[in-house]
Amino acid sequence: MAVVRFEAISQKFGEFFALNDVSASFESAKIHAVLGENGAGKSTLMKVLFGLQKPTAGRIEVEGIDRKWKGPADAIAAGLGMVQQHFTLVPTLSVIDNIMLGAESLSSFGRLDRNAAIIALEKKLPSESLRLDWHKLVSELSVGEQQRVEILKLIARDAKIMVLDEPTAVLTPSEIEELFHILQRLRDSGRTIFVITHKLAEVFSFCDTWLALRAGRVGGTGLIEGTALNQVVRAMVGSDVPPLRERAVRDPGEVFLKVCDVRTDDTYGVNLRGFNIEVRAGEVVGVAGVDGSGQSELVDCILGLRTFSGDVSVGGRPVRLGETREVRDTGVALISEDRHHQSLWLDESVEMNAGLGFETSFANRGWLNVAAWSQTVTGWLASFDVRIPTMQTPVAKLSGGNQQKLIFARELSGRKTPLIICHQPTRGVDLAAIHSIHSELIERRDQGAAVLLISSELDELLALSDRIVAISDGVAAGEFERLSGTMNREAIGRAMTCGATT
Amino acid sequence: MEFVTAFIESILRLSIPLLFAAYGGLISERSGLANVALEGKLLISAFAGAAVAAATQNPWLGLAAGVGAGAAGGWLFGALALYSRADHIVIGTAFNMLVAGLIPTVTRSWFGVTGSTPQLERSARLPSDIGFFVLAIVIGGLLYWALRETRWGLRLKAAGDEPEALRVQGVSARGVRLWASVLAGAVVAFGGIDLSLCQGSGYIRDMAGGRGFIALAALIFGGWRPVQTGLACLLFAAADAAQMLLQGKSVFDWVIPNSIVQIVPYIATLMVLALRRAGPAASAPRAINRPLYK
Amino acid sequence: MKRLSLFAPLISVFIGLALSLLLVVALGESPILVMKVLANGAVGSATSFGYSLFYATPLIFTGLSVWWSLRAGLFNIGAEGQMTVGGAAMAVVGIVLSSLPSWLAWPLALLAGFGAGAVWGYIVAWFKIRRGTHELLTSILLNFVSYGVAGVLFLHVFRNPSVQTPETLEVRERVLVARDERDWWLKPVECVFRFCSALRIRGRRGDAEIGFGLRTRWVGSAPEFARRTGVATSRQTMMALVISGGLAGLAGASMILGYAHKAREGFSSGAGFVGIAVALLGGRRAIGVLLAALLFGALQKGALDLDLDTEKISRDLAVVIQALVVIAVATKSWLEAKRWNS
Repeated sequence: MAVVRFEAISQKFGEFFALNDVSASFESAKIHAVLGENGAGKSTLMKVLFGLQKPTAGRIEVEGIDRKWKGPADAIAAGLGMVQQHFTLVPTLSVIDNIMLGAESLSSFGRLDRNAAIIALEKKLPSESLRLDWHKLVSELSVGEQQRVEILKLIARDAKIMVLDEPTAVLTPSEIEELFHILQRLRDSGRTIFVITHKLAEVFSFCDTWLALRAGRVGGTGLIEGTALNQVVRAMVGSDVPPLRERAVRDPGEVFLKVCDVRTDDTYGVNLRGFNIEVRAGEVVGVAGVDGSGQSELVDCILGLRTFSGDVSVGGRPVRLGETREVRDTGVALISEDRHHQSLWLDESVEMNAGLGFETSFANRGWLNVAAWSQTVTGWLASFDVRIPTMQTPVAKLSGGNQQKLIFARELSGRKTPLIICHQPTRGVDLAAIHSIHSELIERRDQGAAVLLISSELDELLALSDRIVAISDGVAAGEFERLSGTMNREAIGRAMTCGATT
Repeated sequence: MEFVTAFIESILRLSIPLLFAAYGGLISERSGLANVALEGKLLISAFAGAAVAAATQNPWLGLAAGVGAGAAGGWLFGALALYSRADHIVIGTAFNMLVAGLIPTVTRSWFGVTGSTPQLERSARLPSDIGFFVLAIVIGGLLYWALRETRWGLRLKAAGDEPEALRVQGVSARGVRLWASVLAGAVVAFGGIDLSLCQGSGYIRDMAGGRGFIALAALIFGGWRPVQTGLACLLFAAADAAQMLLQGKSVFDWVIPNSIVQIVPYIATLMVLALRRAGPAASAPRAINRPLYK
Repeated sequence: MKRLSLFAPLISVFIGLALSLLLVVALGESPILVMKVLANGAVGSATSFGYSLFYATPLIFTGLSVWWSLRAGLFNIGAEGQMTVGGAAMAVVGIVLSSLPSWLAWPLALLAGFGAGAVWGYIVAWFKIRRGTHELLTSILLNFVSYGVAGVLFLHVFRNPSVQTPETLEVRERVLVARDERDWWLKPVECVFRFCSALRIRGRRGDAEIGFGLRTRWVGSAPEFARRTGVATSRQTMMALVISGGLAGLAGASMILGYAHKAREGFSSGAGFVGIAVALLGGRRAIGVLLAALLFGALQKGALDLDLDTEKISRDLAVVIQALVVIAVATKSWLEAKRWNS
């Protein structure tokens, strides 16, 4: 029996169809995977289902009734619930306060009745593994626990249909497994679950059905049982993805980046607690870890943006606090984690963004030579195949993939770059751009660049790295080499979750 | 001894407008609406209270009018800042300017003088400060309790720290902020009325004299928490009381110029801010001045 | 690298003016009369136009001051206080350094004005960088401090004992920028041109094209990006506030060195606050600030006559108009409804 039916849903943003005539139906008490590349429309479809987005055309049917949501409140009342990719938790409130928010249990005088809320919630728990310390502040929870709070919010509201947007992006392999066990419990108790994802491995291990969207249209759909992986990939991408270029066999050269026993001492957030890593010319060294294990702090230390004890040297030159300019001038290309804030000036033009950081080389006695700037960066962008409407378009209007390619073009063209620091280089980037970014990194490595690749996507690290260092709570928790064959998924996953083992 | 009681009395009296303004600011800022318009709200409510009291010779009607004007000002400021998605600080500054221009324009046509209301008879003024001081303390206590224990407080904090959490629950964070701004205006109004109907006898030009901004400093210094903010107000009021005490006094035959004495509270405020530990403004509402799209 | 757009500011001025006239009607005065008085007072004759320019001159400086801070992502609303200490410093130099030759004296006086404002800006920057205090709060508090400091100078140290009003002694002749042999209304005009010649240079190729200016704006708009590229963001912030303060410090020049030849208490008369409105209306380019200052200067001049020529409206109407224009400018994003897809 179909619990959710979409009938010819279209969603237009200006002239652009985010969804174009999407029809599909979903059975109850199943885990449905909604697949697609970035921008394929999978998030938009779920937002339409949840009332966050009003469709331009089409019909939604939930439990056999035609629905027209005025807003998410209607959808919530009808038994839907959504866990956003970026959690919508108030970090300064306790777990139970977050769960209650918007549907508070009250006693007299508008007072919150936390005990009643806790008792009511505990009755509804389908599994003991969902239990948390109800009075702890959300800011003190791990990412996995925060996600559980989000799920608990839905359970507390008796959601029968749950939508999870990219739920595994921030989790460790073992947390992912735990999450899906919880989801299976919820399914077995009769709930219908939608999981928006692009990680096919999880889909094939845990989900029941799949729906792939491509450029706003249905690319394919079916049961997981009896479907081949290639079939799903083709439905998502429209063609098979070409294999990655072969890496050249070569001996790594001199150590270019050296991080030795680095410790940070901050009141807030994670600290490095004696971290070590070396990157030689001509090798890709991956850093594997769950987000927030000290990766950002490591990058900050290498750039001289944060006080630390221990030794960091780039190109044989020791790094000191506040000498970011000097570090970058030794030839460090930086692909930062948070593209919008750390690598771009969003409301400025493509032209401006592509040249920033090199403004002194376009200046003549303090005056910028606009013509030279424009001509040079046009060349850079062309060689990296960045697709732009005009040079004056605000960079915020580019797609994630094109933004990232623009950043690569800027960082790698302006000067010789013996060291490339990549932090989550492919997050929020479409498959075609991911492929060209990965090829670029391998090519640079073959040409002798040292590459530090920090990522929470194990697949990416396994595909690109010559060595992988696992990071866990600010320490190096194990090193794995491609050549000696120690680089395997399970061992790395264990190291990044449980800390040092071997 | 007499000196000490006079000094304490002076502190209590001077703290009243600061307390109301700071608590109004607290309500608004904890909801995520940055409020630099406290000064304007003090002025508009002081003026409305005095104008109505002068017209009716009834201070209680004046009080009601002042609170109404404060709430209306809060609504206007909140609506402009929230629905335009403009920077709250720009709107707040413009609001202060608007009030500063509007009042003298209106007084010219109503009372024939620019910038002030007629002197009020004793009978048209409110009797004593004590009531106001007690009310301010009660509001502080209520806020302390309400922020922890009530649904209103929970939603207020959510709107200020993570409005998205409200939105996905179908609660309008914008609505929470707007009503907070109205309530804030009404609370601030008591401070304005204290100035014009209790401590003064009528409205005179710029009678808030920067108290709205000192209240904001107290709010920041108090970490946006009711008890600490109240204490900060008392501290700044003490600096002001000391200032008044020092006026015209001489040290070793040197008469301290009043110009210097008068800036003591501001210097004190700056010094207190300078002593605050550096670091991320940990206690500031996280989503303050963040525009909302729904 | 965007083109200068006049549409949005003009609409904002129109809205501000229209709402103010509604107020005028509500107060029972004829809006036509008010508009007539405003226009006549502002540009009715060569003399009134000269005066309009005179009123615009400090607004140009305070406007540029706020404008510069806004480019750096900061909101310096302390221009009033910076102008006060700047004017005080100029007067003091003009009184004390009486023996210097003219060509040295007035640049020195201007430098003192800039320096005093810059020191005020530096204090704000110190609080911002070292203590994380919002620049708004410190600059407001410093405004009050500046009144005290100036008050001491005007009332006690350099007071002119022969007059009742609290004002300083006259600045020595040589320090004056404008001489007496010209028509008297030309003086302010000369001030405008002398002090603003620097702006013409800036206006030439657009502000974005000066490397330093670009970095200021970069740090203001995308601070994390700038920091990770190696721009010393704290230093940029500090420089922005120092320059902003210095520009405001110069705002009193036309008054003290060009016209009144002395400083008196409250000589700033709100020019610092109007500078905020000027900067917001002026938009991205210096030339826009200049035009906005001229408009608001004319408005202030025109409004002076409201006190005499109308029965129910006072000069404070100018402040109302300015406030409404700022609100209209600030809320115009509502019309644009620009939202980046994140």
